[in-house]
Amino acid sequence: MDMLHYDFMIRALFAGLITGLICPALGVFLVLRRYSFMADTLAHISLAGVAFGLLIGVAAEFSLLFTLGVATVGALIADYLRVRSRLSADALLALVMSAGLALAVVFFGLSRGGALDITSYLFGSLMTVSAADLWLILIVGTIVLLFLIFMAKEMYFICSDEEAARVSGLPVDLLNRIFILLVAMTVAVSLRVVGTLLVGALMVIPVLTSLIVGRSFRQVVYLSLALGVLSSLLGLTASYQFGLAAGGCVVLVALAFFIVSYGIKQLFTLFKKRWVVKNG
Amino acid sequence: MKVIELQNIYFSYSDRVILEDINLAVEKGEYLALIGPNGSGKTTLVKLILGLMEPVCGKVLVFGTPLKQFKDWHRLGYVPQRAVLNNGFPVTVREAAAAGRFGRIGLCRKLKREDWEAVEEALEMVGLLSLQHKPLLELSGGQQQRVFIARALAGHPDILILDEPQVGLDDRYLYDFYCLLKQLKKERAITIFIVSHDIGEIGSWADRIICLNKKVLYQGTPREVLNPAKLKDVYGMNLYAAN
Repeated sequence: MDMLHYDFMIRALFAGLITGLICPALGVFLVLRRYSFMADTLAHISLAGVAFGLLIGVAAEFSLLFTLGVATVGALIADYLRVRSRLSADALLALVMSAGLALAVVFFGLSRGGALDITSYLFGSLMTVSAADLWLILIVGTIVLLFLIFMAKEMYFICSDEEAARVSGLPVDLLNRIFILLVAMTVAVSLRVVGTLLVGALMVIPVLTSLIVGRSFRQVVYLSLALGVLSSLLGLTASYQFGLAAGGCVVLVALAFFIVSYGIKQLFTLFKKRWVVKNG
Repeated sequence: MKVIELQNIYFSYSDRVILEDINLAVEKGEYLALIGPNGSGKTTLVKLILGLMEPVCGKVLVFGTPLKQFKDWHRLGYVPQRAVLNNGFPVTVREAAAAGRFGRIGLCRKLKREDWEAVEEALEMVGLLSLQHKPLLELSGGQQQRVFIARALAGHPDILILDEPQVGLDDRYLYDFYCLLKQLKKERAITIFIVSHDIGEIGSWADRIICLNKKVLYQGTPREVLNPAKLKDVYGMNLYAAN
């Protein structure tokens, strides 16, 4: 527990706790809608935002806010294209994702000096969460949780059957837009801890694990939140103990939960099948 | 009183005209069936009524209000054509049907006891109350379709719009299903608007039939419309319907 003597570690754990909560909370709806890649796409746009911030010399305390702004604009563009263009969802996400990454690489190149920072943005780091960042993460976390507390049932309807939701009179377009903005904000603030390449995994993997175990939508939601927080805290602790990239550790823990649940479920199913055959 | 009215509706996808000069009205409390061959624009017509698509020109009125200004969406119940959720999400039958209440109770509100009672009553009507706590995915395609009918009924609509809901329902349930629609019309004065490919059955249930193939070709009572000459005109081949 000596890690708790360090301020940076307490900040990282606190940030991890919040991101571990809100990433899968939004991820449930992304997976439900078969939009799992949305998070990755927005992460790459956020990375472009980070790089652009470095390039134009945004002060360190505002860099996260700046990234958040860029991610938000990127999300709005992606959403506009989703509604207006005739591209399929996966093609659109691939397009926007590569655009984000290409811009990021070019901006990083132009800003030079930033090379050291890139890995921490790609894979997450324990050291980069400042006090100002933590406030921003807290604010975003509160907004996301409030939205979901009040709008979970509407989002569930929209994600499972958008047409029927529209016919029932729900303001589908507005809620979709708010949702996508919240995903963008969540991705942007989670970059500090889990990194660009793995934030999508934190949104999706706990949900997939919960889908193996859960028997109702409610169970899937709560289980996803618990697994997200657990993966995040355990992963960050491992990252501290072994000096490894934070994002990698967090996602590996989440993956471990998935593999174990999957294995147990398979064994259980096999056993049940045999039992049914034997005993009628 | 006209509950749905379409005036001079035209619709096209870039270069293909789907609907041409459609004028039709649905009277309060009637049981109306829309028939026509594949690609005749039936589903498009339903989507125009529901505001899911916009006509190129023409006007859609629901309860006398132009669609753009229409707010009382909970008065419409909709059963979509494709209603099989296949994304592996565990949703119970009860949870799936409860979505039908959302439009009525409004944003940010929780479902209350009377909402759950309405959901249970709707599940009872489609004969699935005993399965209400089962995961939706463990039900057969036809049973899932009945859950979506229950979802539409749970909102206590004044009009029920069904887009080929018979797809996937087995023969045994189909008769019950037609009886249920008849009963809803009779006991609750719900207006029924059903898109159907089942020209054999529908004639013995509906009050009025509209034949669509890009245009409204014929409309009238089943006896007037479902005769071989007219059906040949609509479908382009010899068909016989019992009525």
